[in-house]
Amino acid sequence: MDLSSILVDMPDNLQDSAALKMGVISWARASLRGRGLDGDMANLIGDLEVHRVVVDHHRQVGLLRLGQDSPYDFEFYHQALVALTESIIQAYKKNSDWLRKLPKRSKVNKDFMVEPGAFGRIRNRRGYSTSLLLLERSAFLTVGFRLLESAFENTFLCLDPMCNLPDGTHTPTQRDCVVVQKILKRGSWYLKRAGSSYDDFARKLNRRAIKRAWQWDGGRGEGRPWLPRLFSRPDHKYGD
Amino acid sequence: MEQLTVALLAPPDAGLTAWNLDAEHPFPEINDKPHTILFKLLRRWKCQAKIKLQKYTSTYVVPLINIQSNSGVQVPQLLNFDPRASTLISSDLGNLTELGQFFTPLRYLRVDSVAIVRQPQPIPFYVTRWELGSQRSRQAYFTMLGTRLGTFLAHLHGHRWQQRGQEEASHIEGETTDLEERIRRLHQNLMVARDSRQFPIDQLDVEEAIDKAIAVLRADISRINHPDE
Repeated sequence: MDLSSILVDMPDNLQDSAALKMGVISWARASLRGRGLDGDMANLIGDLEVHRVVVDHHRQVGLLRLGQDSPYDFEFYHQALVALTESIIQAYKKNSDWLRKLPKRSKVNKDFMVEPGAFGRIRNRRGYSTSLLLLERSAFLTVGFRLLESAFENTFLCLDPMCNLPDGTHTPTQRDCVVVQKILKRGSWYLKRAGSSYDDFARKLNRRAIKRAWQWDGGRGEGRPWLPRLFSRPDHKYGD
Repeated sequence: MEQLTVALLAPPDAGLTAWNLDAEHPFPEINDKPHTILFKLLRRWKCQAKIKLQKYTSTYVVPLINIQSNSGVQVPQLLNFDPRASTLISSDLGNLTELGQFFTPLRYLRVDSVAIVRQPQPIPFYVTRWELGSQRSRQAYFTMLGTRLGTFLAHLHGHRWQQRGQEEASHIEGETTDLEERIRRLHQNLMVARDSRQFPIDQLDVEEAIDKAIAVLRADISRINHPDE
């Protein structure tokens, strides 16, 4: 699922938003195998992360380099992306059988630091064929793939005068474009954190790196990666 | 338009031909108005289509229609399905806008089919109008969209048919081939980027690292080769 599969009412007046219609289409490509958390959700979050890179970069350089005549209100897009993504993640976690039914106090949920002896027990807990950690790793791979693929196959807005673009346009082959570099860095962060095997991913050090967003390009606090929030405990604080 | 609609929706074994609703009555012996007959036929065909689809896809497709009522998200209704003709007709959701269009100013689109032309996209008119509104109402709007979508997806992914689908459905050839092709293309792009030094990728500039990432992605396609399953 991507952003083009979601249909919404775009009203003139946002005050009437309670009665808005909303739909999801493009079921021709939907898979009956049900790659849920690491399929639909990961692809959606990957799409949102791609747009977030563009917005984040222009927000960072906005005051310094863009000038007052830029027609784009990046603060507005930032608010939209954050509100949309956080509410998707919260609603999904609240209603998802996969995430909600896990016991609160367990070795897998306590900061996601799994001890080696607990793998088999956790994997067989609910009778699911896949463990949550396995799904999480698969979701990391999917988001990383989505980001890297987007860097090469799509084009993005770049108004940064540091890029010295000849006509104000921005192509994927543009050397040293910061937006593209950031997309690649964030995509490779997801792939790197996914590790080369399941055991690498479940390693204590890697779990801590994910939790604290080590080497993440987007900064701390609000700038942390979105996907780990989907798998974090409800009472988990990200502001540390 | 009515002629076309009725012709499209008529099941192949019904023996009906297209008719013009304004000009003639399809069944003069029935007192119902033509549009009432059309609705009744549509209802009947929907039932037939559901049964056909259920038979065709084992058992786990139809509950999708019921999930929408819980979350406020609509999905196209199934109107007709013909496995022999590989045709599926579904309803239209009305005049709605793709959410992706809201973000088009952040991208450049391929405009020309011959040459790739990239140019700044205009900001949609509703965005410029919303900027005049309060931050609170804008936030409420996107929160409402996200909450509905998240609820819908959670119900969809947690439904019994989805889990059964995981266990029972066989390898879907087309989807996997498509993904493999995309991964192969990404691999090529990464290698070209590394060779031409277009992107100073500090974490993926070693060939071994790229190969490893691609191998992991390939293994993840179907989870079949995963060592833990």
